[in-house]
Amino acid sequence: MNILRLLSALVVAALLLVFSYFFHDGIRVSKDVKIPGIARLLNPSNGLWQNAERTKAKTLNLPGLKDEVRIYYDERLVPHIFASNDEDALFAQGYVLASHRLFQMEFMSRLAAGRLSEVFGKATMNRDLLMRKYGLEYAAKKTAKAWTNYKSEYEKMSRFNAGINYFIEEMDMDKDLALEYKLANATPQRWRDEDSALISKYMTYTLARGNRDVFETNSRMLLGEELYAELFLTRNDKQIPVIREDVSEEFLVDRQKPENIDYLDEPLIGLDYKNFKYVEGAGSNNWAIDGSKSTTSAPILANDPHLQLSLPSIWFQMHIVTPESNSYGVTIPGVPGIIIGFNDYISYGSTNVGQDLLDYYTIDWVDEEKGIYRVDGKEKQAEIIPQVIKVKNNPDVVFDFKVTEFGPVIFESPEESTPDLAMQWIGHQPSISPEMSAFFHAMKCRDYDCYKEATGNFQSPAQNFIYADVQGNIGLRINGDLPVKYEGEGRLVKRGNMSNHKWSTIIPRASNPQSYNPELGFVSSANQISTGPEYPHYYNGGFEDYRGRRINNLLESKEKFTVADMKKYQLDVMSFKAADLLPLLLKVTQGSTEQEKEILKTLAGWDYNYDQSMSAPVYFEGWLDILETMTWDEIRKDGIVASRPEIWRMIELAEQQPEHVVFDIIDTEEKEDFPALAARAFKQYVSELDAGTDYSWGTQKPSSINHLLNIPAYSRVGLKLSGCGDVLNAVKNGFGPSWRMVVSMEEDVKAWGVYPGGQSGNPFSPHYDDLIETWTTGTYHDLLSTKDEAVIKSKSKIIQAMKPINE
Amino acid sequence: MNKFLVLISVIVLHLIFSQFLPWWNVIPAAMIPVFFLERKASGSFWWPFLAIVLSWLIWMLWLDGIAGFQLSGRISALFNLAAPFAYLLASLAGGLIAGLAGLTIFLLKGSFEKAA
Repeated sequence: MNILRLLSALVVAALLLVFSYFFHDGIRVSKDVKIPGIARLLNPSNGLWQNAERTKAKTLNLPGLKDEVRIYYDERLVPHIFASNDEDALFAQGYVLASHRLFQMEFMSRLAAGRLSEVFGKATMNRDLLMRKYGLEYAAKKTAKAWTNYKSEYEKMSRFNAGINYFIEEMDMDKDLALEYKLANATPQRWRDEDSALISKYMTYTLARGNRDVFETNSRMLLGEELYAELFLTRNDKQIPVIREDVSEEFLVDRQKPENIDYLDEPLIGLDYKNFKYVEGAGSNNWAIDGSKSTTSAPILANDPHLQLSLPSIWFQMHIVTPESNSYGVTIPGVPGIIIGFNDYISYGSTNVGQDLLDYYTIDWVDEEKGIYRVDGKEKQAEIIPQVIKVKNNPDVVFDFKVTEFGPVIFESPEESTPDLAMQWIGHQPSISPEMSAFFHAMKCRDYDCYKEATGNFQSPAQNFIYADVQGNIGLRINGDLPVKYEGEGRLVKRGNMSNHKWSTIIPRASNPQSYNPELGFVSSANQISTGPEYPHYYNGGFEDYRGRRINNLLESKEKFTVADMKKYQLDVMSFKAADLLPLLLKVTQGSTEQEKEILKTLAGWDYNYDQSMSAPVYFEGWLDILETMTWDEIRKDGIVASRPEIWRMIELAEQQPEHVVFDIIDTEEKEDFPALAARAFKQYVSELDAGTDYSWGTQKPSSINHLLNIPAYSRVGLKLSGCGDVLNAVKNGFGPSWRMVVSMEEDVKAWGVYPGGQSGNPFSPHYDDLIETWTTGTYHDLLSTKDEAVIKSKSKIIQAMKPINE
Repeated sequence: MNKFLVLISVIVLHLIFSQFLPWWNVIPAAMIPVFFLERKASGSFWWPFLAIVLSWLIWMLWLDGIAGFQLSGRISALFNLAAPFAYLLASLAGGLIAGLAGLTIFLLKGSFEKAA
């Protein structure tokens, strides 16, 4: 034996092992940077080179299918599914969604469940922890279980999951894995009812969680009861409610204010405030005009939901044809049916209802371990569900999820002085209807009653459901689980010492306000307040104040409208906020330096449009920002995070009471009024400007559409877009018009649409981001929605068939 | 002639193994031909190295070509690099492992043989 040779062999073998390990698993170069395993990822046999767009012609022979299904992919990779019954259509829809968006579906489900860290490690741990505290998985499990109560309905809908799972079983777990799975070195999980429920809960989390209860409780403490009541109004008189008709119907149920209710005497300090903050940006517009306002005498419906802009997009376009219906539109991957779309008879869509559907209660614990709490003078045991968050390559994170009769405990304070808080949230409302099939039924409807019934099953997040049909009818209904509250309820953190402090009933669907064929000739919504003050049920919320006004303003601006008008309005960037405030500012502000005069001149010539090339919106927003900070100095105190009154209220005071005490700066000797404050804010703002900087709106407020995992190479960043949160083209904080759709309800329904992304979730597919260009330039695609299979076939690039086989 | 035999055998074995084994099948694909055929230390490294570099390059080019030469750019972008680097990184990594595998088996075999 040759020892020297053996030694060198061992050295080389060790090198081989070390390099193999690094090339497979990657190497961590710093705390945040890890170079992934290059041989595992980049080898040609099953690495990323196998991840080109893989949609190709094929014929699948499947058990469980009732009849043949044909799927035609057009030039934009929109699938046109032809099935002869509902079950097969659902199976094909599940299969198609999984084949393009499986990673996104699992990502959303894991995000909601608080199970990302299992795959992504420490980086997502805090997000998981927050989601577990919100109890989305806890709620989704119950919801999924409740769905099985509707046996025949449930069995039918389970074909959707079967389609998803067939795709997973069929795929080559080596080659076919999506890029993201390969990067994370993970494999997909089977799709369960719970996953669909999690997606629904995540939408509720995104859209029905808005509240300022904790922060307003602190504002009230800092301002005192009187000033608080004066500044924090719930109704903006300039806004036009979603339902403009008088809806002063009878109460079906009522709730009296509990006699003994009182509020906290101490501000809430030491909270993990950021977990209570709600990033604004999500919102939507919709409107429909009837034949009297349309040049073609047929109604036109427009809808653009402003959800998070991401790659892949939150939406997926589909066309589903069965002998019963011919439906086209978008859905969220994981949700069966068409959420926003149209068929040969009706078109429909939705915007979010901005009502406050989450309230907090202080919990009065009896024991050290915080398991028993006191309510109605009696001791009660909280339901305790231990949570284990698995974190890849790290120890598990464990905590107790506690559920009181008010709801889950969202905050446990380490300090005596700050109370623990439980939350009562609409997302935890029990599932009482076959809501999983709401959009599958909606897409087949031929009249308003059917659409009302289908969406009536939809519980959360409550939506302003809009409707138009070829008969010439239009309608809009506020629908979803909305609690019955007493006047003023839910604005502030409540004490959880009495069980009657919580709301316990949902407004009956029959009392959900609606507008059907109004005299006005149109219906519209933009997340603004739902009704006029005469509506009997009390509600509050974070309502939108300017887009709704703009829609009403535009739709009353002339006699007749065209489809081109509707498209133009979806891209409209005129702000009523600027129109309300800027003239007040300009009236009281004079420039002293050349630069100041120049800026005031620019502002004076501004048409209130948030155009990306203009600098006026940057100047206006910058000035306003400082003005707001100066105005609300009375609600700024170290360690206390409080919320400001809404911007419209400040503008209203500036207009009506310019000498109001809020405009006085507490720290100065003299007494400031609005003109003094405006001038002071302006001087300060201008002094902060740099010469030579490009102050155009698009440059200062660039938008981005990020990949789900924020991989820069697969994101679109630095987009110069016109718009802001207050205008119809509401591009803000990474949110924006995530699907623009206009439908003309002529005899032969015509429709146009676009979303900022692409049908494929695969960054290597030419269809990953091929629709972005159309979206950014404000143009639309003609939506190919004929039920004539021959026409679809002639326009298709790829044809797939599914054929039944006997088991 | 033997030299080319090692090169070709590594390629053939790698292609066969790739049907059912992950990328590290380059290790056995390099070891087997070297064990039976290679007589020189340098050849035991370089022939498997070359075999994998070549086969991967051609394979990658072919896959890239089918996708309209979009892939290499998109893959390289993941590492913040220009398009050709996906080819370079992958083939060098694969080649290095194959070469080390060949050399390992050559030295191991040698250490158990009687000195000639």
